[in-house]
Amino acid sequence: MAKQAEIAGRIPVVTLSVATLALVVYFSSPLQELLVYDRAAVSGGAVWRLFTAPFVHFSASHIFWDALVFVAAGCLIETSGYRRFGLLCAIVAILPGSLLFLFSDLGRYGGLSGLSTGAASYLCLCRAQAAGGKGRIWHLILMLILLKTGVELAVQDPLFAKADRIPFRVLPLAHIVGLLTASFLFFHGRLGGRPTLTNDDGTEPG
Amino acid sequence: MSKVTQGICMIGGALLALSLVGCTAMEGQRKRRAASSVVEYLFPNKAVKVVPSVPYLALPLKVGMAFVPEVASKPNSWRRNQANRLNERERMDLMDRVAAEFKALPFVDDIEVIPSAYLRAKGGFENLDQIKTMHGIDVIVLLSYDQVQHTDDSILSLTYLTVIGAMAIEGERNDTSTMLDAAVFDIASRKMLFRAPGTSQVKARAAPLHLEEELRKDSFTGFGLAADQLIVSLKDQLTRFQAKVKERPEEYKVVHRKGYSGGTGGGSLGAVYSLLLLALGSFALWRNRQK
Repeated sequence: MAKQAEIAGRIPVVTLSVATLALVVYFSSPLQELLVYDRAAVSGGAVWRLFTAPFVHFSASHIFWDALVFVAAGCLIETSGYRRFGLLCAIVAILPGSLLFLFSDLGRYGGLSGLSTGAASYLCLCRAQAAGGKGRIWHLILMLILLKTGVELAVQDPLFAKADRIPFRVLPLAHIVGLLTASFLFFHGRLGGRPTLTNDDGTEPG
Repeated sequence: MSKVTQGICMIGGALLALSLVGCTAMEGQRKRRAASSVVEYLFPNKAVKVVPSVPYLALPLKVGMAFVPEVASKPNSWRRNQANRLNERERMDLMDRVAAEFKALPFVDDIEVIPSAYLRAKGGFENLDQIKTMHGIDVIVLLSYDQVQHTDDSILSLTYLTVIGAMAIEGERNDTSTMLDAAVFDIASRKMLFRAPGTSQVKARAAPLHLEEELRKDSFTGFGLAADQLIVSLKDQLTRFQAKVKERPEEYKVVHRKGYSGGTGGGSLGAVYSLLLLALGSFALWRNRQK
């Protein structure tokens, strides 16, 4: 019980740090220009932009919805004591920018939705495992994420975000990376015998 | 007739002849002008008010470029006023040069150089709507110009009194001022997005015999130099415009066509999907608590 209370009382450091940084960057134009993924600048040596791009947003609604999902999922992950969330964020932050640089001619990129998708997927996987046979609703959410990402990949267009109402093109790539990374970390942890989560009572499963 | 009278008559005749030559050779300051006006082309009817709306710029843009029809010359314009008018080939060459700058931009899909024949004098936005339909463009770059050529006699023009002088001495001072202007309009919203000017000044001298040829040459050089400056100015104005679009998203709506791989991309969940995830997540947590 003491362990459970300790975990529940934890401050979600990773989630709050990422969300705060995104918020600070949103209100600072010089920081946005310094941190956004800019193909030309990356080619010129500004490689940090590959992993700082998720902290840059292009409109108020863009940051609002991305951050809302990320904070909700991230806080639940951290206060539930699920491990490797920091690693998940690090991988999902750096991968989309690197892939875009290698395989796309996109000029600028930013947004936290990859991390949000990763966090939501990871939470679903961990919660579904923790709930055992009673975790159908988490599987359902996971299926929704999977279906949405799959359809976006197939049609190369956002399903829910209206393309004609936002000042940029929505990239399904970041969502795919988020989903795959979350799945990889979860299943890798299980297969490798490394516990991905702690039970609700604070003890590790198995 | 006495010898004195004969002498006076000869001197008088010679002076008369010289004064006639002088009259034809020294004409004082002369001016010629060729101009076209975007305002005259787009707003021919002052009674009809055109109210621009918020432009929706669908990237990548399909851009057209055309010279607006020339303003009709006044009947008392200086002789042979055709010298400083651009012919169609020269217009197309000039537009190709400016268009090359637009083609290099990542958010421009294609740029169509539209021949003058497609633009009616005082055609207004109705004419632009027709061009939009015919050429499948969203945005048009309207080029207009104003070129004035002044020709003055210098002191050397006194030598025109001799036949050799009129043929060989460059006593005519030509001054050619050119202004080339590019105004970029979103056709559907009637909104001017930005404009960029280019100017030039060409000074040259010519003998009367080669005056027309020299004026034509100066005119063409003037347009070329103005186009060089226009291209530099366009790049600058385009950068400013991009910053303006970012700063004032309520004034300029930028959308992306399906399949557009350039420009800006972002990871975005959108309101509906976010709310769906949150609602399902909350429900799942509530269910877990109930159990």
